[in-house]
Amino acid sequence: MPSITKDLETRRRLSRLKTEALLLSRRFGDARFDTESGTWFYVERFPIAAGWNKSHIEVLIDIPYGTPGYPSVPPEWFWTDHDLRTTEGQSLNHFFTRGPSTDKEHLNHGWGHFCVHLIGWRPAGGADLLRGHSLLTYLDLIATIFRDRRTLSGAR
Amino acid sequence: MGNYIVNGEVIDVRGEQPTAADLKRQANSVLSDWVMASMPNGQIVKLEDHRPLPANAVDYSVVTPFTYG
Repeated sequence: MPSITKDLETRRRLSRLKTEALLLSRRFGDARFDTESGTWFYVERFPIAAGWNKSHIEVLIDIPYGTPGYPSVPPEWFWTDHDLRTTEGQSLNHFFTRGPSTDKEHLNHGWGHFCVHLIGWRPAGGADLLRGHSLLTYLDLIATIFRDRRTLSGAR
Repeated sequence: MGNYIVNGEVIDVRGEQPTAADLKRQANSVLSDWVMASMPNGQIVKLEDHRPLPANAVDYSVVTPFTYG
């Protein structure tokens, strides 16, 4: 079986993820990615707004790795601590702690996932990651989702 | 004209009554992105491009348009 890292699309994706990890590490601290095949991106301590039972969460982003893959295709799923609740102990809307059998590894690790469909994804070019969409803008979206406590918790 | 917190960064937006579109331009965001304002009561409000920025918003997020799965 040929090594997946020999595939041009994969090499391009790995290069992109490496650059984004450097950029995001400056803002969020430890940011890692799947250096073998570029299928995930991980932020260990992602800060979230008040109103939850944690101030920081782990975030694991599923990176699309088909052809085309990321960044032409936006991420759709991200994973985070399955025991995340509101400060009152309520569970979250749009958050799934069970999934298909292919996700067992993540679920066993203690993560649940959100499914967020992006509309109008305009990927940033490699020469200027700050102009257009990237994992930075995706993480900004995740931060915004956690600020919208009313939608996630059903609180009024 | 004033300073606005957008995605955790302070952005200077000029003009008498800056709009959501002005904010996106100044933040170098994709113009089809959404501007969401955090209101003092905790509500998150999506702003139309032509709408002036609400004076009492706590801060703003510019995000890729999305729906939940």
